[in-house]
Parts: sequence; C-alpha cells; structure tokens
Amino acid sequence: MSTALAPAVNGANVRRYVELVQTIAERNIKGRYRGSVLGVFWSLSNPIIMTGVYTLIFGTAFSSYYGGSILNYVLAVFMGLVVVTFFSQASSQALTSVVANGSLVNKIRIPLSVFPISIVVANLFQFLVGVLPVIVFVTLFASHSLERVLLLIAPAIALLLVTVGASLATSALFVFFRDLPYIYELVVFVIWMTSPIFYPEEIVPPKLRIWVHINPISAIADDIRKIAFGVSPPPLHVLGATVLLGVLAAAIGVGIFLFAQRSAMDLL
Amino acid sequence: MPPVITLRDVSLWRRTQEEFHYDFKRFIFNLVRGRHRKPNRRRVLDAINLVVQRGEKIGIIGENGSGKTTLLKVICGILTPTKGSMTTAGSIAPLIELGAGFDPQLSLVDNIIYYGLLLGVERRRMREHLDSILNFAELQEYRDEPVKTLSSGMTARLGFAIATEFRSDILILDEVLAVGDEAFARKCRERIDQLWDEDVTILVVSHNLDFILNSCSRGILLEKGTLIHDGLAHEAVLRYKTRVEAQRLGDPSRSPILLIAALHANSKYADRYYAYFDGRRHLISDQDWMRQNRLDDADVVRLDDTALDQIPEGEQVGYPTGVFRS
Repeated sequence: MSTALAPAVNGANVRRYVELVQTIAERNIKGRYRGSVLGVFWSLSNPIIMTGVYTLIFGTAFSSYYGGSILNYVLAVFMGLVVVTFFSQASSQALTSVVANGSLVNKIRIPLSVFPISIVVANLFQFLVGVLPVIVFVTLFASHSLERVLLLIAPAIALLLVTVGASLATSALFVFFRDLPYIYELVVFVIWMTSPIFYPEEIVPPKLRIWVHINPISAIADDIRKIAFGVSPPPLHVLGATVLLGVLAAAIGVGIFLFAQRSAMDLL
Repeated sequence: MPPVITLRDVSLWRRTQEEFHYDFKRFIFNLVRGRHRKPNRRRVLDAINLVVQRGEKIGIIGENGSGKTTLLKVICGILTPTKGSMTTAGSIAPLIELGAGFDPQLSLVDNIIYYGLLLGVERRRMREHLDSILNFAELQEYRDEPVKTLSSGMTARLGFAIATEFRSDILILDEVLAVGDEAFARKCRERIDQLWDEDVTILVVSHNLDFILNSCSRGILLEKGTLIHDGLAHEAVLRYKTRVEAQRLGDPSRSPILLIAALHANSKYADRYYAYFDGRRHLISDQDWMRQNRLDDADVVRLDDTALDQIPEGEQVGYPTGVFRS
C-alpha cells in the first residue's frame, strides 16, 4: 500500500469502499426510521401531501394545460415533486456529511467520499422502495407498455448522477465555507421554482425557456412524465441528452470534490 | 525481510486555520476586491526518514505540537505526505482516542459491528467476535442498550476491547494506555503486554516517559516536526529531558546539559558520564573538557536515579542521571 500516490484502485479497496458505503447508508436508514411505524413509506407522504396542496390551489387554474384533466395535473405534479425532493433532500443531507464525520476521518483511514455517497445511497433505497413502485404502477396503468417502464431507467440514472454530483460538490465545499447551507438552500429554491413542477412549462416566458431545458432537474421530470403518461414517450436522443446532462453534472461534482479533497483534511 | 514501514523524506504542509474565512460571502467579496490571499501553510513534518522493521517497539516522544500524532496519522494513511513517500506492509490497527466513531443512538452490538467495519473487519467475522469483545469490556448486560447509556469510562473500555480484539501487524497507540478504573487498566496492560511479546510492530506516543523507557527498545524524538533523535529509547528520553530542562532554565546562553552516563550500570555512581552538549556527546570524566566548559560536580542536578537500579548488570545503555549547567 502506498499513500504517496492516490490509493490504487484494486479489488480489496473497491470491496472496502462498497462495504463502507453499504454500512453507513444502512446506519443512516436505521437511524432515520427508528420508532416510525410508517418506516420507509414515510418518504411517500411528503410528495403526496404537497401534491394535494398544489392541486387544491392551482389544480383548476392549470388543468386546461393538462388536457383539462385534474388527474393529469395531479400526476404531473407528483412526478415532478418526487424528482426535485429526491435531489434536494439527498444533496442537502450530504452537504454536512463530511464535516459531521470530521473527527472520525481523523482517527481511521476512510475515503471522504463515502459519506456523501452513502447519503445518496440511503435516499436511493428510500426512492426505490417508496416512490419508484408508484411511478412504475402509473406508467403501466396509463400506457399498458412494459417498454415504457424500461425507458424510465434513463431519467432515473440521470437523476442519480445529478444528485451524486451535487452531493459531492456541496459536501466538499462545506468544509471550506461553513455558511454554505444558507446559500445552498437558496440554490435549491431557485432550481425548484425554475423547474416546471407545479406549473405548466407553457407559462414560462419563451426567452427563459432555454433554462428549463438545460436545468437537469426539469429535463428529468419532463422525461418521466412523458414516459409515464405522455401521448408518446420522448425519443431516445432526448433521453440520451438527459443522461448526458447527468454525466456532466456528476463530472463537475467529482472534479470539485477531488480538487477540494486535497486540503480538506487540514480543516476537519 | 523487508521493513514494515518506510518513510522517505516525508514532509507535510498543512493549512493554518487562523486566517481562514469559513465564509463563502466574504470569500467572494475578497475575490471581487482583489483581496484574496492564498491560505497560509505551515510545515508540520520536515523531511522525516524512518525505517521500521517487523516486531520493533518504538516510542515517539516530543512536546505538544511537535508532530507526534501527525506522524502516526501519516503512517495510518489518514494524512497524505505533501512530499516524500510512505509505504507500509501489513494491516494497521489505529488506537487513537478510543470510541471516536461510536453512534450514541445505536446499540452496543450495532456499534461494535459498525466500528469493526470502519476498521476493515468483515461483518461475519465481527459477529463471531461479539461475545468475546463484550466479555472483555465487561459490558455483556448492556449489549442491546444504546451507547449513550454508557459512562465515558465504559465507552473507552468498549473502544479498547474492539481495537485490540484482532491481531494486526502494526499497532498504533496514542496515549490510550490508561483506560477505565484500576482493575480494567491492569487488564489493558496485560493485553498490551501480550501484544508486546508477539511479533507485532508497535508505535506508541506517550508523555509517560517511564512507560517508554520500560516498554520500548527504540525511541524517536520529534521537535517542531523534525526528527532529531532516532536510536535507543533511553537516549531519546534523555535528549528530550535535556531539551525540556533547557527550556525550563529559560536562558539558552547558559546551555544546560544533561548526562547520559552510567555505562557501568550496576553502579549508582557510574564511573563514566556522558553529556549532550552542542548536539554532541562528551565524556564527562574528561577533566579538561569539564574545565573548558567551566563545569564541576556542583552543577549536577539529579533528575532520576531510582531507575538506575533497573538496568541489568553490565548492560551497555545510556541513562539519564543529571543536568549540568555552565
């Protein structure tokens, strides 16, 4: 083992990394749901309640954009909400994860990235058992097509990549900027409001609409909606572009993390 | 047999915290006004060379802030050297500040398994050792309680029990030798003594110089990140005491020196005394040298002579006996 260079990527290191992520994610999930009867399904209650609120307030006003159907509006809001909540919850929890384990990483050799990654994994688990079955069910029910369910993999991967990128970046930057939570809260709010989650894309002024298309969160939400209950699913090149956005976001996040990691240990 | 630890010219610079913003707003503000300064860096380890053979027991001493713990962290792979290279062979068990990784909300059993995984022990193996760990820590009846119900002494006992349960090739001890109450501290000593007899390589940081003298064969003295002595534990302790004494006396021009002495060990009043002076070793019985430095027997200040009795007859060791002042 040599620490002069970056730790070698070999079988033993990869296995230890996976085991660490698994353990920390498991502990995270255990800690979150201790004493809660609803368990993992608690994660569904948040988007369901919010969907209800949005529908009550905006449902009638916006339903004309959704083929005059309140149900379509409800589904669109729900799909959008689960995407944006997954992203914002995972990345906001990941933000403090490296600093929170500062004393631990000063005692035992642990790669710093396991902490944000395991937060994402814990949220992913919650997403897979809580939200995903609902999306799959809606897709099957609305389209009667198994192919569409398979197409869901593309935006799901994109969402995971974007979240990993944001989580790595925020967790590393928080080491240096301890006022980051306030700023990041604002960033999440901007992403939330500029994504057509509870309003139709059509009401966005045409000049600003480009943002809607490069904002990975809205692109992902849009793909999921179109796959689940659109007239026809988005063409493959559109899905490919979404995945590419995800890869780009993940690459930026990894880059920031690797850059910041070099002197992060001095401030933990 | 290849060495288990090799450090070649290891230097480490770390960012100092005092000039640090911890503030994104101020960072941007300074950047805009062109006031951004590169953060200060301080050298905490300076060109350390160290080769450790299998089975060596090494004591690391020095003042607070001299880089002892930092050196251990580099060896553990927690910190990466800025310059130079470090290689280790075999598994390392760190024993730095016991109980640091515990989650107070989770049960003892969950914490033991979690801690083991952090140390790199598989889950299944950890389960097999659960009872043995709990028995050693004498905490069987608490196994399903959350860790927060334990007292601090109990927590430290648990940490010690986990970290010493598995045999590793290199054991790192950082001021952890006194754990819990009298009875448990003795148990810990027994376990450590057992490790001492085995082929385990041990690196220990301690301010308990008697412990270093009695338990380590080799001593390393660090000062401001520089390795200033690497040799017999006795000599390292001696030089350390010399330097501490020099500081206590305050006036560097008075050049306090300390005897190394007693090569004929079974005599309390050894016939040959050595002194560290000007970074060299001098034979004190050399009367000319004594006169030259305006020294006489009245300058001897005894530091410690009880330990002289412990040196076996005829053994060739250096041992601290006193301080000279010029």
